[in-house]
Amino acid sequence: MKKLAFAEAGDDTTVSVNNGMNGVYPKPQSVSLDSLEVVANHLESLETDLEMDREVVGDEDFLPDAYFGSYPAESPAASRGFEVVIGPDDRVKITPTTSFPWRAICALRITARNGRKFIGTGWLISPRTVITAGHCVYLHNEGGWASSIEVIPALDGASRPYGSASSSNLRSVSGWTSGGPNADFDYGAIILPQNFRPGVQTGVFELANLNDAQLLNTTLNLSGYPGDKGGSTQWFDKKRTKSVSPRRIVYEIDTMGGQSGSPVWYLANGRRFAVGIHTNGSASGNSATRINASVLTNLQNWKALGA
Amino acid sequence: MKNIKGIITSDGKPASDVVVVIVEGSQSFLDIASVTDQAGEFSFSLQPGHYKARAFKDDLIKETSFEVSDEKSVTENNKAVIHLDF
Repeated sequence: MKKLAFAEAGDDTTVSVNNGMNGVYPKPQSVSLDSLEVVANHLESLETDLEMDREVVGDEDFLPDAYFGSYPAESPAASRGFEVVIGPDDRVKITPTTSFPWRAICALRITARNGRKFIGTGWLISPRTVITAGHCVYLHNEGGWASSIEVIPALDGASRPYGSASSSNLRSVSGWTSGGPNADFDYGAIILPQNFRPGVQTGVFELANLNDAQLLNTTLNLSGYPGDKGGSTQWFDKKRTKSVSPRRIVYEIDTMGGQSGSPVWYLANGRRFAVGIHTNGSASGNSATRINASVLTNLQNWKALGA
Repeated sequence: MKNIKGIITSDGKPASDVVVVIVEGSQSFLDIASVTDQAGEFSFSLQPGHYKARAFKDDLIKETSFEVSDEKSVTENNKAVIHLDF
Protein backbone atom coordinates (compact mmCIF):
# COMPACT_ATOMS: atom_id res chain seq x y z
CA MET A 1 0.00 0.00 0.00
CA LYS A 2 1.44 3.36 -0.95
CA LYS A 3 1.04 6.37 1.26
CA LEU A 4 1.82 9.92 0.26
CA ALA A 5 2.81 12.66 2.61
CA PHE A 6 3.57 16.28 1.84
CA ALA A 7 6.01 18.24 3.95
CA GLU A 8 6.43 21.44 2.00
CA ALA A 9 5.87 22.96 -1.39
CA GLY A 10 8.27 22.61 -4.30
CA ASP A 11 10.44 19.79 -5.50
CA ASP A 12 11.55 18.95 -1.97
CA THR A 13 8.03 17.72 -1.30
CA THR A 14 8.28 14.48 0.61
CA VAL A 15 7.00 11.32 -1.04
CA SER A 16 6.95 7.93 0.58
CA VAL A 17 6.13 4.28 0.22
CA ASN A 18 5.48 1.58 2.78
CA ASN A 19 4.86 -1.87 1.42
CA GLY A 20 4.39 -3.38 4.84
CA MET A 21 7.13 -5.93 4.20
CA ASN A 22 9.39 -5.06 7.09
CA GLY A 23 11.34 -7.92 8.60
CA VAL A 24 13.83 -7.99 11.45
CA TYR A 25 16.76 -10.35 11.65
CA PRO A 26 18.38 -9.62 15.00
CA LYS A 27 21.88 -10.84 15.64
CA PRO A 28 23.64 -11.21 18.99
CA GLN A 29 24.72 -7.85 20.31
CA SER A 30 28.35 -7.24 21.15
CA VAL A 31 28.04 -3.79 22.69
CA SER A 32 29.09 -3.44 26.29
CA LEU A 33 26.86 -1.86 28.89
CA ASP A 34 29.36 0.98 29.11
CA SER A 35 28.91 1.67 25.41
CA LEU A 36 25.16 1.55 25.72
CA GLU A 37 25.30 4.11 28.48
CA VAL A 38 27.48 6.49 26.48
CA VAL A 39 25.30 6.27 23.40
CA ALA A 40 22.11 6.74 25.35
CA ASN A 41 23.58 9.85 26.85
CA HIS A 42 24.66 10.97 23.40
CA LEU A 43 21.06 11.09 22.30
CA GLU A 44 20.12 13.20 25.27
CA SER A 45 23.09 15.48 25.69
CA LEU A 46 25.39 17.03 23.13
CA GLU A 47 28.03 17.37 25.81
CA THR A 48 28.41 13.61 25.88
CA ASP A 49 29.56 13.70 22.26
CA LEU A 50 32.80 15.21 23.40
CA GLU A 51 33.62 11.96 25.12
CA MET A 52 33.43 9.96 21.94
CA ASP A 53 36.77 11.14 20.57
CA ARG A 54 38.39 9.16 23.33
CA GLU A 55 36.89 5.88 22.19
CA VAL A 56 39.26 3.25 20.89
CA VAL A 57 39.47 2.18 17.25
CA GLY A 58 41.38 -1.06 16.86
CA ASP A 59 44.38 -1.23 19.14
CA GLU A 60 44.94 2.48 19.23
CA ASP A 61 43.14 5.51 20.49
CA PHE A 62 42.84 6.76 16.92
CA LEU A 63 40.02 8.21 14.87
CA PRO A 64 41.07 8.99 11.31
CA ASP A 65 38.40 11.60 10.69
CA ALA A 66 39.60 13.44 13.78
CA TYR A 67 43.31 13.05 13.16
CA PHE A 68 43.52 13.69 9.43
CA GLY A 69 40.93 16.43 9.68
CA SER A 70 43.43 18.22 11.87
CA TYR A 71 46.61 17.19 10.01
CA PRO A 72 45.61 16.70 6.36
CA ALA A 73 49.21 16.75 5.12
CA GLU A 74 49.82 13.47 6.93
CA SER A 75 47.04 11.60 5.17
CA PRO A 76 48.11 8.12 4.09
CA ALA A 77 47.79 6.78 0.57
CA ALA A 78 46.87 3.50 2.19
CA SER A 79 46.39 1.25 -0.79
CA ARG A 80 47.88 2.82 -3.89
CA GLY A 81 46.66 0.44 -6.57
CA PHE A 82 44.71 0.60 -9.77
CA GLU A 83 41.39 1.21 -8.05
CA VAL A 84 41.70 4.89 -8.64
CA VAL A 85 38.89 7.36 -8.89
CA ILE A 86 40.74 10.65 -8.67
CA GLY A 87 44.51 10.27 -8.46
CA PRO A 88 45.90 7.75 -5.97
CA ASP A 89 43.47 5.66 -3.94
CA ASP A 90 43.56 7.18 -0.47
CA ARG A 91 40.81 5.08 1.11
CA VAL A 92 41.45 3.60 4.55
CA LYS A 93 39.70 0.48 5.82
CA ILE A 94 37.76 0.94 9.04
CA THR A 95 37.94 -2.07 11.33
CA PRO A 96 36.54 -2.70 13.80
CA THR A 97 33.51 -0.59 13.05
CA THR A 98 32.09 -0.56 16.56
CA SER A 99 33.22 2.95 17.51
CA PHE A 100 31.35 6.13 16.65
CA PRO A 101 30.89 7.40 13.97
CA TRP A 102 31.64 4.22 12.01
CA ARG A 103 28.97 2.18 13.81
CA ALA A 104 26.29 4.67 12.70
CA ILE A 105 27.11 3.95 9.04
CA CYS A 106 25.13 1.13 7.43
CA ALA A 107 25.65 -1.20 4.50
CA LEU A 108 22.54 -1.39 2.32
CA ARG A 109 21.38 -4.42 0.34
CA ILE A 110 18.82 -3.04 -2.09
CA THR A 111 16.29 -5.17 -3.94
CA ALA A 112 14.69 -3.16 -6.73
CA ARG A 113 11.06 -3.54 -7.78
CA ASN A 114 12.18 -5.61 -10.79
CA GLY A 115 14.22 -7.94 -8.58
CA ARG A 116 17.67 -6.58 -9.42
CA LYS A 117 20.12 -6.23 -6.53
CA PHE A 118 22.29 -3.25 -5.64
CA ILE A 119 24.69 -2.19 -2.89
CA GLY A 120 24.55 1.22 -1.23
CA THR A 121 25.31 2.99 2.06
CA GLY A 122 23.20 4.81 4.65
CA TRP A 123 23.63 6.47 8.05
CA LEU A 124 21.57 6.85 11.18
CA ILE A 125 20.17 10.19 12.34
CA SER A 126 17.76 8.76 14.92
CA PRO A 127 17.10 5.32 16.42
CA ARG A 128 15.22 4.11 13.31
CA THR A 129 15.93 6.65 10.55
CA VAL A 130 18.60 5.90 7.96
CA ILE A 131 19.52 8.62 5.45
CA THR A 132 20.75 7.61 2.00
CA ALA A 133 20.71 8.65 -1.65
CA GLY A 134 17.40 9.03 -3.43
CA HIS A 135 18.58 6.54 -6.04
CA CYS A 136 19.01 3.89 -3.32
CA VAL A 137 15.32 4.06 -2.36
CA TYR A 138 13.76 5.02 -5.72
CA LEU A 139 15.40 3.57 -8.83
CA HIS A 140 13.87 5.15 -11.91
CA ASN A 141 14.89 2.47 -14.40
CA GLU A 142 14.37 -0.48 -12.08
CA GLY A 143 10.66 -0.11 -11.29
CA GLY A 144 10.64 2.90 -8.95
CA TRP A 145 10.52 2.36 -5.19
CA ALA A 146 12.79 -0.41 -3.98
CA SER A 147 10.80 -3.44 -2.89
CA SER A 148 13.02 -3.95 0.16
CA ILE A 149 16.28 -2.66 1.63
CA GLU A 150 18.29 -4.58 4.19
CA VAL A 151 20.08 -2.21 6.58
CA ILE A 152 23.22 -3.51 8.33
CA PRO A 153 24.78 -0.99 10.74
CA ALA A 154 28.56 -1.24 11.13
CA LEU A 155 28.86 -4.30 8.88
CA ASP A 156 32.45 -5.56 9.10
CA GLY A 157 32.97 -8.58 6.89
CA ALA A 158 30.81 -11.34 8.31
CA SER A 159 30.23 -9.44 11.57
CA ARG A 160 26.92 -7.66 12.13
CA PRO A 161 27.51 -6.17 15.60
CA TYR A 162 24.13 -4.42 15.79
CA GLY A 163 22.07 -6.93 13.81
CA SER A 164 20.17 -6.00 10.68
CA ALA A 165 16.64 -5.42 9.44
CA SER A 166 14.81 -5.04 6.17
CA SER A 167 12.40 -2.22 5.45
CA SER A 168 10.20 -1.05 2.63
CA ASN A 169 9.11 2.08 4.52
CA LEU A 170 10.91 4.62 2.35
CA ARG A 171 11.03 8.37 1.84
CA SER A 172 12.30 10.69 -0.88
CA VAL A 173 11.15 13.91 -2.51
CA SER A 174 9.14 14.66 -5.63
CA GLY A 175 12.18 16.38 -7.17
CA TRP A 176 13.77 12.94 -7.34
CA THR A 177 10.82 10.62 -7.94
CA SER A 178 8.85 12.72 -10.45
CA GLY A 179 10.06 12.98 -14.01
CA GLY A 180 13.65 12.12 -14.78
CA PRO A 181 16.29 11.79 -12.10
CA ASN A 182 17.58 15.15 -10.91
CA ALA A 183 20.82 15.06 -8.91
CA ASP A 184 19.82 18.21 -7.05
CA PHE A 185 17.14 16.19 -5.22
CA ASP A 186 18.92 12.86 -4.88
CA TYR A 187 18.25 12.03 -1.23
CA GLY A 188 15.96 9.78 0.74
CA ALA A 189 15.41 7.83 3.93
CA ILE A 190 14.65 4.37 5.21
CA ILE A 191 12.42 4.10 8.28
CA LEU A 192 13.32 0.91 10.14
CA PRO A 193 10.74 -1.35 11.85
CA GLN A 194 9.49 -0.37 15.30
CA ASN A 195 11.34 -3.25 16.96
CA PHE A 196 14.75 -2.45 15.44
CA ARG A 197 16.31 0.70 16.91
CA PRO A 198 20.06 0.52 16.19
CA GLY A 199 20.59 4.25 16.58
CA VAL A 200 20.10 3.92 20.33
CA GLN A 201 23.23 1.80 20.47
CA THR A 202 25.29 3.31 17.67
CA GLY A 203 24.72 7.00 18.27
CA VAL A 204 23.65 9.20 15.39
CA PHE A 205 24.99 11.91 13.10
CA GLU A 206 23.96 15.48 13.69
CA LEU A 207 22.93 17.65 10.74
CA ALA A 208 24.23 21.03 9.59
CA ASN A 209 23.40 23.53 6.88
CA LEU A 210 26.65 25.42 6.27
CA ASN A 211 27.03 28.46 4.03
CA ASP A 212 29.33 28.41 0.99
CA ALA A 213 32.32 29.95 2.75
CA GLN A 214 32.07 27.53 5.64
CA LEU A 215 31.85 24.53 3.32
CA LEU A 216 34.78 25.68 1.18
CA ASN A 217 36.89 26.03 4.29
CA THR A 218 36.09 22.56 5.61
CA THR A 219 37.74 19.15 5.44
CA LEU A 220 35.00 16.70 4.54
CA ASN A 221 34.89 13.10 5.72
CA LEU A 222 33.16 10.25 3.87
CA SER A 223 32.86 6.57 4.80
CA GLY A 224 30.86 3.79 3.20
CA TYR A 225 30.74 0.34 1.67
CA PRO A 226 32.42 0.26 -1.77
CA GLY A 227 31.61 -2.59 -4.12
CA ASP A 228 35.20 -3.03 -5.29
CA LYS A 229 36.01 -4.13 -1.74
CA GLY A 230 33.10 -6.57 -1.72
CA GLY A 231 30.52 -4.20 -0.22
CA SER A 232 30.92 -5.70 3.26
CA THR A 233 33.76 -3.62 4.66
CA GLN A 234 33.77 0.09 5.46
CA TRP A 235 36.26 2.47 3.83
CA PHE A 236 37.01 6.07 4.70
CA ASP A 237 38.62 9.06 3.02
CA LYS A 238 38.68 12.80 3.61
CA LYS A 239 39.63 15.89 1.64
CA ARG A 240 38.78 19.55 1.49
CA THR A 241 35.72 20.74 -0.38
CA LYS A 242 36.43 21.45 -4.05
CA SER A 243 33.37 23.51 -4.98
CA VAL A 244 29.77 24.10 -3.99
CA SER A 245 26.50 25.10 -5.61
CA PRO A 246 23.15 25.72 -3.93
CA ARG A 247 22.31 21.99 -4.01
CA ARG A 248 25.60 20.15 -4.58
CA ILE A 249 28.97 19.71 -2.88
CA VAL A 250 31.95 18.60 -5.01
CA TYR A 251 35.11 16.99 -3.59
CA GLU A 252 37.94 14.69 -4.58
CA ILE A 253 37.36 12.17 -1.83
CA ASP A 254 37.94 8.71 -3.30
CA THR A 255 34.78 6.63 -3.60
CA MET A 256 33.52 3.64 -5.56
CA GLY A 257 30.16 2.15 -6.51
CA GLY A 258 28.37 1.06 -3.35
CA GLN A 259 29.12 4.27 -1.47
CA SER A 260 26.02 6.04 -2.74
CA GLY A 261 24.20 7.40 0.28
CA SER A 262 27.30 7.72 2.46
CA PRO A 263 27.43 10.56 4.97
CA VAL A 264 29.62 13.55 4.12
CA TRP A 265 30.47 15.16 7.42
CA TYR A 266 32.81 17.46 9.26
CA LEU A 267 34.16 17.17 12.75
CA ALA A 268 33.94 20.03 15.22
CA ASN A 269 34.69 19.73 18.91
CA GLY A 270 34.17 16.00 18.82
CA ARG A 271 30.78 16.25 17.12
CA ARG A 272 30.00 14.88 13.66
CA PHE A 273 27.79 17.11 11.51
CA ALA A 274 26.56 15.70 8.20
CA VAL A 275 26.49 18.32 5.45
CA GLY A 276 25.85 16.09 2.44
CA ILE A 277 24.68 12.75 1.09
CA HIS A 278 27.15 11.18 -1.35
CA THR A 279 25.56 10.31 -4.70
CA ASN A 280 27.85 10.64 -7.73
CA GLY A 281 31.21 9.67 -9.09
CA SER A 282 32.97 11.76 -11.72
CA ALA A 283 36.50 12.30 -12.94
CA SER A 284 36.02 16.01 -12.39
CA GLY A 285 34.99 15.54 -8.77
CA ASN A 286 32.73 13.27 -6.80
CA SER A 287 29.71 14.91 -5.30
CA ALA A 288 26.94 14.92 -2.73
CA THR A 289 23.48 16.32 -2.38
CA ARG A 290 24.00 19.36 -0.17
CA ILE A 291 22.05 19.63 3.07
CA ASN A 292 20.58 23.07 2.47
CA ALA A 293 17.64 24.55 4.35
CA SER A 294 14.91 22.60 2.57
CA VAL A 295 16.83 19.32 2.67
CA LEU A 296 17.50 19.88 6.36
CA THR A 297 13.79 20.37 7.00
CA ASN A 298 12.94 17.07 5.35
CA LEU A 299 15.72 15.20 7.12
CA GLN A 300 14.52 16.53 10.45
CA ASN A 301 10.96 15.43 9.65
CA TRP A 302 12.18 11.96 8.71
CA LYS A 303 14.32 11.89 11.84
CA ALA A 304 11.18 12.34 13.91
CA LEU A 305 9.53 9.40 12.13
CA GLY A 306 12.22 7.09 13.43
CA ALA A 307 12.55 8.53 16.92
CA MET B 1 19.44 8.28 -18.44
CA LYS B 2 19.79 5.00 -20.31
CA ASN B 3 19.29 1.67 -18.62
CA ILE B 4 22.40 -0.38 -19.38
CA LYS B 5 22.25 -4.13 -19.13
CA GLY B 6 25.21 -6.46 -18.68
CA ILE B 7 25.89 -10.15 -18.25
CA ILE B 8 28.66 -11.83 -16.29
CA THR B 9 29.55 -15.41 -17.08
CA SER B 10 32.07 -17.85 -15.75
CA ASP B 11 33.23 -20.47 -18.20
CA GLY B 12 30.30 -19.45 -20.33
CA LYS B 13 27.67 -19.96 -17.61
CA PRO B 14 25.79 -17.15 -15.81
CA ALA B 15 27.61 -16.00 -12.66
CA SER B 16 25.41 -14.73 -9.82
CA ASP B 17 26.31 -12.45 -6.89
CA VAL B 18 29.13 -10.76 -8.78
CA VAL B 19 29.59 -7.12 -7.79
CA VAL B 20 29.95 -4.68 -10.69
CA VAL B 21 30.91 -1.00 -10.40
CA ILE B 22 31.51 1.87 -12.79
CA VAL B 23 35.05 3.11 -12.22
CA GLU B 24 35.41 5.76 -14.90
CA GLY B 25 33.06 7.84 -16.96
CA SER B 26 33.01 10.80 -19.31
CA GLN B 27 29.82 11.83 -17.50
CA SER B 28 28.95 11.89 -13.82
CA PHE B 29 27.44 8.57 -12.71
CA LEU B 30 25.50 7.25 -9.73
CA ASP B 31 27.88 5.69 -7.19
CA ILE B 32 25.83 2.54 -6.63
CA ALA B 33 27.09 -1.03 -7.12
CA SER B 34 25.10 -3.60 -9.07
CA VAL B 35 24.99 -7.30 -8.16
CA THR B 36 24.33 -10.00 -10.76
CA ASP B 37 21.22 -12.16 -10.46
CA GLN B 38 20.79 -15.86 -11.19
CA ALA B 39 20.93 -15.11 -14.91
CA GLY B 40 24.23 -13.29 -14.42
CA GLU B 41 22.56 -10.02 -15.31
CA PHE B 42 23.08 -6.59 -13.84
CA SER B 43 22.15 -3.05 -14.84
CA PHE B 44 23.11 0.60 -14.47
CA SER B 45 21.46 3.89 -15.31
CA LEU B 46 23.92 6.06 -17.21
CA GLN B 47 24.05 9.23 -19.25
CA PRO B 48 25.29 8.92 -22.84
CA GLY B 49 29.09 8.77 -22.81
CA HIS B 50 32.12 6.54 -22.39
CA TYR B 51 32.51 4.38 -19.29
CA LYS B 52 34.63 1.66 -17.76
CA ALA B 53 32.98 -1.10 -15.68
CA ARG B 54 34.79 -3.49 -13.39
CA ALA B 55 33.46 -6.80 -12.03
CA PHE B 56 34.72 -8.55 -8.90
CA LYS B 57 34.33 -12.30 -8.46
CA ASP B 58 36.22 -13.88 -5.59
CA ASP B 59 39.79 -12.66 -6.10
CA LEU B 60 39.35 -12.14 -9.82
CA ILE B 61 38.74 -8.83 -11.52
CA LYS B 62 37.54 -8.16 -15.05
CA GLU B 63 36.89 -4.83 -16.67
CA THR B 64 35.64 -3.44 -19.92
CA SER B 65 35.09 -0.08 -21.56
CA PHE B 66 31.87 0.71 -23.36
CA GLU B 67 29.88 3.54 -24.84
CA VAL B 68 26.34 4.57 -24.07
CA SER B 69 24.78 6.06 -27.16
CA ASP B 70 22.26 8.84 -27.24
CA GLU B 71 20.87 7.47 -30.49
CA LYS B 72 19.07 4.40 -29.25
CA SER B 73 18.52 2.32 -26.18
CA VAL B 74 21.33 -0.16 -25.69
CA THR B 75 18.87 -2.55 -24.09
CA GLU B 76 16.80 -2.79 -27.25
CA ASN B 77 16.18 -6.39 -28.27
CA ASN B 78 17.28 -7.38 -24.79
CA LYS B 79 20.87 -7.01 -25.88
CA ALA B 80 23.49 -6.53 -23.17
CA VAL B 81 26.04 -3.81 -23.77
CA ILE B 82 28.48 -5.37 -21.31
CA HIS B 83 29.60 -9.01 -21.30
CA LEU B 84 32.45 -10.21 -19.13
CA ASP B 85 33.50 -13.83 -18.81
CA PHE B 86 35.66 -15.05 -15.92
